[in-house]
Amino acid sequence: MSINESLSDRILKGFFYAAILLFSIYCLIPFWSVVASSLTSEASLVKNGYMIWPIDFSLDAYKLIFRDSTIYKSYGVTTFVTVVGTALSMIFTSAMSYTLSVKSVKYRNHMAFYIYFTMLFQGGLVASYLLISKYLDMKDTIWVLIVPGMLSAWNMFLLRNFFASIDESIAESAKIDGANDAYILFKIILPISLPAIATIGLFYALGYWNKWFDAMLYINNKDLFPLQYLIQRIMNNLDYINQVSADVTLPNFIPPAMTVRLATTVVTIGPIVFLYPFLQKYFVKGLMVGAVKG
Amino acid sequence: MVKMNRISALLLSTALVTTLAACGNNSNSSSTAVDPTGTPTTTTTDNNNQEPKAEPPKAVTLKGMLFGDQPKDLSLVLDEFENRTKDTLNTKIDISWNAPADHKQKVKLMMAAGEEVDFVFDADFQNLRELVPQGAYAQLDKYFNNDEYPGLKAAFSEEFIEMNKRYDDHLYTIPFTQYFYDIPVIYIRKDLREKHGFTSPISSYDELQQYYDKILSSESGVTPLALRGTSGFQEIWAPERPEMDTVRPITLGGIVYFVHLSDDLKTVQNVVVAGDPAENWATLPEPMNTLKSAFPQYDKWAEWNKYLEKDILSQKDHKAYFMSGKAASYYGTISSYAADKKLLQETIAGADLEFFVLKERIRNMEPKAIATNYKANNSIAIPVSSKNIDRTMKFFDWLFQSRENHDLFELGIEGTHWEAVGEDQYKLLDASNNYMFPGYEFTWNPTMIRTSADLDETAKKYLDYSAEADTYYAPVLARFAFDTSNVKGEFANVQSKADPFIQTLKAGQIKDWETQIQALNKELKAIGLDTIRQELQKQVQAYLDAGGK
Amino acid sequence: MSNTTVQQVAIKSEVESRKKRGPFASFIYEIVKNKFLYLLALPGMLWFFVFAYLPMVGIIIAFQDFKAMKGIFGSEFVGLRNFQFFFRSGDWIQIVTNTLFLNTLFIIFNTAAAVFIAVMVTEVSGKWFKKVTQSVMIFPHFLSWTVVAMFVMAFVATDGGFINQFLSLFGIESIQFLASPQYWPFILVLLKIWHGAGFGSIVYMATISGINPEIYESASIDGASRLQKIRFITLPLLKPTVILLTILAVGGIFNGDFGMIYAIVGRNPLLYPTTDVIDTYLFRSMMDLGDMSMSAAIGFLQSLVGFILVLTVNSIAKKVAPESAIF
Repeated sequence: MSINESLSDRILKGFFYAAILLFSIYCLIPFWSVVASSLTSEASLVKNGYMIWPIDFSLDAYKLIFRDSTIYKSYGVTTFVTVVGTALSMIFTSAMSYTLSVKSVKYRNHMAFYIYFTMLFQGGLVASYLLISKYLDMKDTIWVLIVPGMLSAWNMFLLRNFFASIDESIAESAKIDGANDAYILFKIILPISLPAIATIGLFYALGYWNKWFDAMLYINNKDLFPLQYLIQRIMNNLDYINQVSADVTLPNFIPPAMTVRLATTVVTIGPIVFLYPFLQKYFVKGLMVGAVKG
Repeated sequence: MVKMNRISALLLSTALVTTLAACGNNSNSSSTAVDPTGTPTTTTTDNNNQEPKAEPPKAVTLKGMLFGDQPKDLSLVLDEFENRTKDTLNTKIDISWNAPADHKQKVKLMMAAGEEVDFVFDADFQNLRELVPQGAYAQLDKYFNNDEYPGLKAAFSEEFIEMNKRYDDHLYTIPFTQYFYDIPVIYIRKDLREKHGFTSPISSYDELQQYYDKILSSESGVTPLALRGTSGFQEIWAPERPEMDTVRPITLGGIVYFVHLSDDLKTVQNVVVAGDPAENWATLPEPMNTLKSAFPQYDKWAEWNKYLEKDILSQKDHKAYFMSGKAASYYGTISSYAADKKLLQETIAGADLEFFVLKERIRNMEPKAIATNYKANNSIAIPVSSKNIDRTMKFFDWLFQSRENHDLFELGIEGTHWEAVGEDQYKLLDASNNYMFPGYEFTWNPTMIRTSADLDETAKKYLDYSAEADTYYAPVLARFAFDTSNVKGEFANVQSKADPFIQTLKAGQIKDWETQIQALNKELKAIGLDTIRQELQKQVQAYLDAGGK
Repeated sequence: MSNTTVQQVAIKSEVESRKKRGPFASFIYEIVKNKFLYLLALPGMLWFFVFAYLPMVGIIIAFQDFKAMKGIFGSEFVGLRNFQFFFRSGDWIQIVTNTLFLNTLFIIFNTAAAVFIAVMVTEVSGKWFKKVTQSVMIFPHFLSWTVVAMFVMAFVATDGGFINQFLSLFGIESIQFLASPQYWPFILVLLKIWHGAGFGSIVYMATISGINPEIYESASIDGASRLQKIRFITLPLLKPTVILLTILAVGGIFNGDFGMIYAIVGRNPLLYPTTDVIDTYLFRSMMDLGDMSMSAAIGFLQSLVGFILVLTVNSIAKKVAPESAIF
C-alpha cells in the first residue's frame, strides 16, 4: 500500500517540479533579457532589439548612471528610509494587528472598519499635499519619505489574519498561568509568528525601497532623492513625449538611451534579489513545532 | 559722533535716491526686497549718469522650477554668473528640476498651496491656461518696453510682447522662442535613396511616392514611412493654400471648427465642423464649400496607408524604429536634424540623413509663407506669491542685456563647453555633454540665436529662413484663445469620443472617411458638439466685438 | 474552541454585570479591561486620523468647481454636475463592463495561480531548488509595466513578432494582434499572472508554513495521499487568507489597472472595445482639460461602488466564514 501511494505522490511531486521549473523559466527570461540588453551599447540595442546574450558588450549605460554621484547618496537615503521605515511600520502595525486579532477586544470590528474605510476613500492629492507640505511642513525632510506612508491597511489586515489564525488555546493557557497581555504578545505570540512578520516586513521594505512619488512631490533637495525617484525620472521621459498632444514639440528633447532605462531596472532590483533569499528561511514549513502543548 | 554719522548717512542716501529718481524714468516702483535699515536699493542698469558707484543690492536667492535633468556643470555656470554680477545683481539662482511628466502636476499643487517660488516654467500645454485666469501669476507688463530694463526692451519687441499677452490684455509670462515655427519635414535615408536610383534629393510628393514604391518592392523588411501612432500623418499632404481671412480653423480637443466670418471680419456667421451636412459647408467660400475639397489629404492618407507599418497605431517611438534600420524615412521637424544625423551615422554604417520639406512654399523659402500667432510655446511665469518679482525681472534683464550674458546660460562657459564661430554660430567642444541646457525653458530669444557651425548648409538656410520676421504673418483670429470653463463636460465627452476616430484617420486607416465622419458627427451632436459650437461662436464674437483681430 | 469551566463562569458574571451598566460606562469598562491592547493600537489609530482622515476633506473637490488658486474651501459647490459627463455618452456601459470583467478575471486567476504556486513550492523538496525558484518567480513583479510593454510588443507584433513567426513555421497566417480586441482580455490575464502570481504566492507560503506539521503526519499515518493532504488540509487552511485578500480586492474592483493597461495598450484605439477601463477613459477625456473636479468625481464613484460591494461581500463572509471577514 505504501508503495502505491508513494508512486502517485511521486508523480504529483514530479509534476510540481516541472510546473515550477517552467514558470520560473517563464519569469526569468524577460528579466535575464533586460540584464543582457543593458550590458550592450545603445547602437547595438537599437539595431538588434532585445537579446539573451549581450552583443557588443558595453558598460556604458551603467557608467552613465553611476557617473553622477547623486546615485550613491540616493542609495544611502533609500537604505536609511527602508531600514528605519520598516522597523517603525512593523512596530506600529504589529501592535494594531494584534489588538484587532484578539477576540475579547470588544471594539475590534469597529476599529477594523475605521481603518478599512481609509482604503477606499481618499481625499486626493491636493488635500494631502496641503496637509503635508503646508500644515505639517514636512517638505525636504527625510521623514516625509517615512511617516506619511508608514501604515498600510492592507498589511495590517493580513497580519491580523495571521495572528488570528494562531490557536487561541495557547494564549488562553498562558492567561490561566497568570500572564498579562504584554507577556503573551512578546514572549509567546511574536516568536511563533515569524513567517508572518517576515512576510509583512518584506512588503513594507519593498514599499519603502520603491518609494518615489512622495519624493517627486515633496523633495527638491538633491541630497534627499531616493533611488527609485532618480530612476523614475529617467524612465518617464519617453512616456512624456507620447502623452503630450501631437502639436507640441519639445525641441532637442533627448530621450535617454534604452540601455540606460534597462540598466536602471537592474540597479533597483539588485538589492532586493539579494535580500529575499535571506528571508526565505522563515517560510519553512513547521515553524510551529512544539508550540501547542496541551 | 556715531549719531551724526548715521544722520548724515541717511541724508546722503536720501539725496542720492532723489537724484536717481529724477534721472531715470520710474513710473514703476523699483523697490525690491526692502532693506530693514531703510537704504533703498539702487537700479543696476547702466545709466549715462556719473553718480558714484551704488552699493550692490541685498543678496537674494531666486528659487525656480524647471523640468528636465540638471546639466552637470550648471554649478560652474552659476559660479561664473555670480562672479560677474557680485556687485551689480548680487543674486543667486537655485533651480529645482522636475521630471517632465511630473512638472505640470507639481506646479499646480505648489500654486494651490501658495508656496513661495520665484519663477516656474509654464506653458499652454501645461497649466497656463488654467492658472492665469485664477490669478496665480504676476502681471509682467510693466517690465517690458521699459527703459529701466533695457535688456528686456531690446530682446522683446513690442509686437512680440503684444502677441503673447493673454485674453485680458496683460502679459503673464516671459516668452521663450527662437523660431515661431519648427518646420515639419520627412527625414529620408540618403543612402537608400541613392541606392534605388534617385540621383538628386527628393523635391516633391510625387517623387517621394516613387521612392516609397521602390522601397516596398525592392527593400523587403523595410517600412517606407515611420510615424508616431498618436499623431499619424499630421502635416503630410496638408493642402497648400493661403490662409483665408473669412474661414478660420480653430482646433479644440482634436476637432477642427471652421469659424466663418463676414467679409468685413466683424461678425461670425457660422461655425462648421467636419461631418456637418452639406448645406453647412456650402455656405463657405471655395474651396471649403464641400467636405471633400476641404480635406483633400484624407484620401491621400488612406492611399498612403500601405507605406506604413501594420502596427502603426501602437508605435510609440518611431524615431527609434527608423534608427534601427526598419524604416526608410520618418516624420520629424527640422530642429532635430543635426542630432538625428549624428545618431544615424553612429548606428548604421554607411547611412546618412537628409530631409524633405513638406510645404512647397516653405521649401522654396518664400516670404510670408508661414502663418503664426507669434505665441511662444514655452515661457516662464512668476507666481504672485513670490517676494522677489523685481529681482527676478532684473535677473532676466541682465540675461538679455548682451549676448555674452545670454550665451553663458544657454550654451555654457565659452572655451570650456563651446566656442563662438562668428556672430551667430557656435561649435560644441568636448565638454559640451556636461552642459545641455534646455534653452526653451529659460533663454531662447529670436534676437540671440546661435546655430551649430556643424550644421548642414541645407538645414542652416531653412533655420535662417525661419528666423526671419518676413517669413511670417499673423492670420485673422491668431490671438483668440478658447476658454473651456462653461463647456467642460461636453468637451470631455466630445474629445474622448472623437479621439479614437481621429487617431485612426490620421494613420490613414479609414478609406470611406466621408460617411464615417458624418456618422461621428451625429454621435458628437448627441453629446454636446453643438453646445461647444455655440459657445465658440459666442466667444469669437465677443473677441471681435472687443476689437480683437 | 471550548472554554474551560472557569472561564465560562467568569464570562457569565461579566455579561450579567454588563447588563447593569449604561453604554458609556461599559465603554470605559471595556477600555480599562483591555487597556494594554487599546494602548497598543492607539498610535496607529492616531496615524490614520492624521494621514488618512484629515485629507479626506479633499473628497469635496468632486462636488466643486475646483480652482487651484481658490483652494478647497474657496471653490464653488456644484453638486453632482461633475458626474454628468461620465454618463452622458453611452460609452460608459462598455467601459464599466470592461473594468468589472477584467478585474474579476484578474482576481480569480491571480488567486488561483498564487495559491497553486505556493502549494507546489511547499510540496517539493530540495533547498537550493526552492530558494532559487522562489527568488526567480518574484522577478516579474519588479519589472515596470513600461519595460514589460516592450516585450509584449516584441511578442505580438504583426511583422516579426515572436508569436507570428512561430505561426508561420506551420504555415498559419499572421494574426494582427494589435488590431484585434478579442484576444486582449486573455493576453492581459496572462500578463497579470506572470507579473503577480509569484509575488502573490509569498503570502500563501507564509500561511502554509504556519500549519502544524503534526497534522500532515497524522494524515500520512491514516494513509492520505499527497493530493488528499493538499485538498483536505492545506487548501482549507488557506481559505481565511484567500477570503480576506479577495474581499480586499473586491474593494478595488471598480478601479481599472491603469498602470498596466496604459503601458501596454497605450493609445491604440482599435483595442479600446475590450481593454478600455474607467481609468484609461478618464485619462483620455481629461487630456486637454486637466480638470481636477471631474477626475475626483469619478474617483469618488469608484470608491463608493467598491465600498458598497465590500459591505455586501463582507456580510456574506461573516455568515459563511466569520474568521475572515474584515469587520
